[in-house]
Amino acid sequence: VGAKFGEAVGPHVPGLRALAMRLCRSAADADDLVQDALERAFRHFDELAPDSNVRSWLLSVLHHRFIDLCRVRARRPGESPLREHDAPVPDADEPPVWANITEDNVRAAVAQLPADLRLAYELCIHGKRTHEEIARILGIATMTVGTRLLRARRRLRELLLPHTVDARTTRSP
Amino acid sequence: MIPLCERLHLFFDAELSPEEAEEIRVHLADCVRCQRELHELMQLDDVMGRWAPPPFRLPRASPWSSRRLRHVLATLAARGGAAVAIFVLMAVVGYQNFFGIPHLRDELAAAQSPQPASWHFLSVSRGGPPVIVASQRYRMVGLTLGMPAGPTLPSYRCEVRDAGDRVLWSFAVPAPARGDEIQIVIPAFQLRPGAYSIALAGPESAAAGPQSALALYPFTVELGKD
Repeated sequence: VGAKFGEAVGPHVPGLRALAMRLCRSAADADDLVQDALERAFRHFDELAPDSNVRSWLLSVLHHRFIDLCRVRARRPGESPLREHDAPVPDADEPPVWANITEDNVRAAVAQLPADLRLAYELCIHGKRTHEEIARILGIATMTVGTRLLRARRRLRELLLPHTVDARTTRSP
Repeated sequence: MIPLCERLHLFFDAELSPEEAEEIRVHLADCVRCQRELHELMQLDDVMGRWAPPPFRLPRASPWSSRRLRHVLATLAARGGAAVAIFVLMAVVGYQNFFGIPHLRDELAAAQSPQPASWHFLSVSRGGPPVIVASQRYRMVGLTLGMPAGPTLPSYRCEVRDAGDRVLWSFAVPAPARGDEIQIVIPAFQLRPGAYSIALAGPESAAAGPQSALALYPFTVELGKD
């Protein structure tokens, strides 16, 4: 199981760490969050269906662990929650709803975005630019960038949701 | 102040201050809507970031976008329109080669050849207006105007008006280097039978209408037999 887990999860660890950094804003907390998520994922790895999208599932696990972190932090402000293990175990067998989005789905959705939203979103996602940098590039206000990104994500979500798997309908009884 | 739920995407993009970000983390502990929203943001950005975007093209101002053009061409091709389009194109090219271009060549040669003109003298009118017989043999009508009274000016504004006082031509003419006659040439083919007048005014006049004219030269045009 360990070898299989390493093979399946290894390629996704850098992406998980980058995401954890965005959520925690501290390298130490991000490393702890990723470590904790991987630990939980390992415990539930054998429950994962063979044809599952591992990356999407790992994101769900990380999300659950982050929300747990937030709950503990809300109860005990100032304490480091990741070293406490009283948080509930995440639902690792929950099927990731975004698992079956294909590249064609993505391309079709992006093509339907209005040009101004698409430009801002691509600068954010692929260009890894901050809102301020995007504002400077596009010659618009920083707040407008935030609004455009929000609208772009909402539109993309609308377009892609029909292609996602409904967790409630696919979960085994 | 923007509600916390509305700032979740800013938190996700790491655009909030550390204090504001901590506020969102605490809020996430209880807000199920934001928890779900965060999960979707994570999944969406991951899905979108995994694949290279298709090439980006700014939208064209023209309503004939490439998609629309492709659609029209595809429709034409499907209906045999391509064959019709080629036929029409060949017909246009054939017409140009056999009729249009030779005609243009003749026009150009005629324009480059010396311009025949009939010349007429118009003096400051004291009697009835002189009659100019326009002939198809002449492309231009030359008019010699007697100098208006008063000091000679370096140039004059000249206007040709029809019977309805409509300005047909307005141009500047220099004062004659010698003698006391001003010569002008106007295209004959634009003259119709009827009464006309030419007004001369000073060069600074915006118009050489009857009020500001230094001299008026009425004349009548009749068509010749040829």
